[in-house]
Amino acid sequence: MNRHTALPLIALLLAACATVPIPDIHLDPDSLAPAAPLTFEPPEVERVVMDNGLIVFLLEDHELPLLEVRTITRTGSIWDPPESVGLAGIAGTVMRTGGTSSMTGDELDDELEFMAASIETGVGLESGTASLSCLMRDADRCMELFADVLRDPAFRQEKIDLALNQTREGIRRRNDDPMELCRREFRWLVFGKDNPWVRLESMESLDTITQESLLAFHERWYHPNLTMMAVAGDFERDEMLALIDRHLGDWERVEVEIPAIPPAPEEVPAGIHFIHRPDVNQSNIRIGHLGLTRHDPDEYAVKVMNFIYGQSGFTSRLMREVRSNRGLTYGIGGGLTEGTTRGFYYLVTFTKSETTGEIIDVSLEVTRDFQESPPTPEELRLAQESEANSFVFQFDSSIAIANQRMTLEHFGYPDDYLETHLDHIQAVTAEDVQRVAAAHIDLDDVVILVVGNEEEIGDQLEQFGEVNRVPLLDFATGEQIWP
Amino acid sequence: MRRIAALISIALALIALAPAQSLEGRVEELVLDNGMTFLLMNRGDAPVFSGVIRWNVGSSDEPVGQTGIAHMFEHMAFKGTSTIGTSDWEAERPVLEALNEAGTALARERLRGEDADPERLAALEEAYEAAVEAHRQFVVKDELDMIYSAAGAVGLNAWTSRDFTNYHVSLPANALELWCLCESARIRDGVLREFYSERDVVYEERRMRTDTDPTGALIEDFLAMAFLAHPYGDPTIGWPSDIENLTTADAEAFYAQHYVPANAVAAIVGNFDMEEARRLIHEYFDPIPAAEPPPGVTTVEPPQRGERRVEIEWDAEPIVVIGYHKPNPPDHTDAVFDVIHSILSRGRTSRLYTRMIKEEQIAVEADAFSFPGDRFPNLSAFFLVPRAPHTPEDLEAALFEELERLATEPVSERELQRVINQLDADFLRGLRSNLGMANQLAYWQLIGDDWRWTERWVEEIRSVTAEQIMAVAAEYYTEQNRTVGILRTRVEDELPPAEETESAVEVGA
Repeated sequence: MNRHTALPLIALLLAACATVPIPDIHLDPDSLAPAAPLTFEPPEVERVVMDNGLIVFLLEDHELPLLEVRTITRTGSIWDPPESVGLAGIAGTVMRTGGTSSMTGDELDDELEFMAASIETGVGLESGTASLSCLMRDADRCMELFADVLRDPAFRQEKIDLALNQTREGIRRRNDDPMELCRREFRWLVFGKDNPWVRLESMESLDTITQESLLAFHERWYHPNLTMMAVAGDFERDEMLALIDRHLGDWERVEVEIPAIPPAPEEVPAGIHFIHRPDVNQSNIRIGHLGLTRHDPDEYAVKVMNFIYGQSGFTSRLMREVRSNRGLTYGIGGGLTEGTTRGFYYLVTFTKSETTGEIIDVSLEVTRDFQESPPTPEELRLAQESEANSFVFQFDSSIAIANQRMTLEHFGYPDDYLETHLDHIQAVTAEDVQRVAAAHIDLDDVVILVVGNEEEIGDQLEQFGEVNRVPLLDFATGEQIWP
Repeated sequence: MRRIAALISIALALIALAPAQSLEGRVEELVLDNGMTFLLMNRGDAPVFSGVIRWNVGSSDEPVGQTGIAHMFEHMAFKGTSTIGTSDWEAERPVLEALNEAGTALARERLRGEDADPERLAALEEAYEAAVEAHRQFVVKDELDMIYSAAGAVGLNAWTSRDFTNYHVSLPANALELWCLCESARIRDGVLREFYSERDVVYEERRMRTDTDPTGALIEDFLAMAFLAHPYGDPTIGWPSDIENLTTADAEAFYAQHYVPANAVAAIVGNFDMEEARRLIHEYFDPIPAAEPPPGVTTVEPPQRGERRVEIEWDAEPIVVIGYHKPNPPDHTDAVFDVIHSILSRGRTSRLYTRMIKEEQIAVEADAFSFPGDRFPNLSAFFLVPRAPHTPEDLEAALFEELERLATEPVSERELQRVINQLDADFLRGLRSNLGMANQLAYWQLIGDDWRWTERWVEEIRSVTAEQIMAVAAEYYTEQNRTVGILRTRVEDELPPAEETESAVEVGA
């Protein structure tokens, strides 16, 4: 009470002193009371295991008459035969576009698009995914079509040809965008061009892909016991489970032996590497080496480290020094990523040709400095508060919530991973951050790749060692176009 | 068969006409005395909201010689206020003023080009560097970003287009007052810090988006060719020489003219307390002084006198961009074009996809869309990517045939109904996203003077007929109204020996 009556008095006193400006508390964030704690119970995702092994994650959401479904299947391009690289990717496309035994792809397109619904499929490095989005009133028919695509794709020849032709054009255009070129060649340098985790399809490997090989790919992997499904939308759980059972209940379980995971390389070719592009006035730069294996005990310390070092928008060390203080770039980021075998330590940026050497130098210096002393208490506090206070955004979309539960299980995270996440983050200390930065980043053993204009860059790269000129191929002809 | 299709489409239309999800009654409109408009909408279960402030100012509003200033100002709006981003504003102020004067003096001298006095230039450079150093001690780096991050912000960012400058962030619901404070402070108390290093950052952004990206380079030249008079022809990022010469004085003048409350619409969408929001908005945004709204853009693009073509050479595979001048929303003709663009390029059953990508396989991409803005008459544009060995000319020919077909044959009822069904579903799906909804409300409030256009536009499209499509296609898809941009793969100059001989003879003669 006293406090409240005192305020106007102070205001009057201040107003009486005409020469002292009245501070406007509406401009000062320090004047705000601490935010009230959020009260929020994240919705519970229900996990149901069907008789055939299909695991279903359900979440009702009655805001709008819509349905969203996602599936994830254990398969991936890492197991493509070396002579048929691209098989999994083409299968992921044609599974949907090539129609099913009972419907052509064109008929499927026509019916779905008229309902404003979509079914899409794809296969990545270590998972096959499918999605369905439709109005709730079309749920029955759409689930039937979705199940048909998952279980019985026909891989019709004309859509195989279409997918192959589109992919070939993509190969022809691989060198057009320098940023993408730099990303590709960096991955190849670190893992080795033929490693299953980074290799890409070629004109020759695409030629080996046939209807038979695609049908065999599907036959090998697409089984209910290798598949999980996340469902969110305007349904009652019993009815949705009945609907799923109607269309997928008699999908038969098949025991599959999962092949070994291809390993990451033991070593990377550390040093400075260069590729020339004639039309550019800016250099694209990637620096890095191998990173973490998923479920590394340091994962929480690394997450905090990434935030402070190079993944937190404008406040990271890299952004602050290289962009904000020096104006050397529009974008810079860096950190440690995880992989099933190994992820990357990476630092990625770009700058005008004239400051290529300078930006590499400064970025390495910032990194070295970061490794040599622990982050400040303010940096640590900001990283932890940001993670804690933004955590609620993990739960602002029902399909994202269900999909996240499914994805965590696919990658082998424990059941309580989300529930305990924030506690683990809060337990990270400044010493932990410094320790993981020192342990997992080794600047004496990094690959530095520059893609830029040779004439404009001149001799700036020589300070980093003997420059290895990485041969660049014309992927349409297989001919080396540089050097 | 046709009758059955018609019956089905009527039935579907009836279902769609009774939308359970109307915005009317869900969106609150609040216009402050200073003219700033707020649109508030509650949705969703998670205690989060998205806040958008969209200014009716984009690169189209820039003075001659200052292309890029709208975008440059957007970058500066992240540099703080008199309380955010500084360790001591009273002490910083004179140092910052000196720095900005030094920067402007240096820019002026550099502008003299070869006439610049080298000694004076060197002295000015030295003075500027010293001023930067003197100022640095007061800067609390990116404090706005830090304050928002600590509060749990997601997606703090902004963008500038030819039409608008848009500031957005998503926050937990308990940070609503923080949002009001930071955003109102940015508007009435912004401080232009670190202008000249940020100008270098923006130049790097230009190199990334345009100078090293074949698509970006082609689009820049294509628009400059399509719009000879209207500022839609100038790049939002700015022409290189303009960026190099922007000054703090330019930014201040631009701010004073355009950042007036009546020129802004704010939209807040999410799970927050409506009553509290109204109170906070008045508390924080009422003190922004009212000012005269900017005069607007006077230049009108004159009718095109004939087909225009522009080509660029690049070490890359070919790309084609084609555009036809047309009216902008909320004109009904633009709704007709929305339908045309969908029929031509939305999904695997669309006409361009079916013909160019699926059947003839001459392209790997064929997109139709309105471009490059909506505040002023714009283009019906096509982005086409050929599949080797097919040429840009093959794609042009196929496209022109499809446009001719639109002008001479009515589209089928099923095609029209498909577009309407998709639009209804788009509307529903749009309602799931706080940020998406906030963007839509702000967009229509500025484009149509009324957020209700968000729904009205669905009705506008529903009223498009096959006859209107024919008439519009015939009127606008003409050779005279067309601009074509082509990126061609550079071939090394190797003159055939015969020509060499001829020219040698000529020179000798």
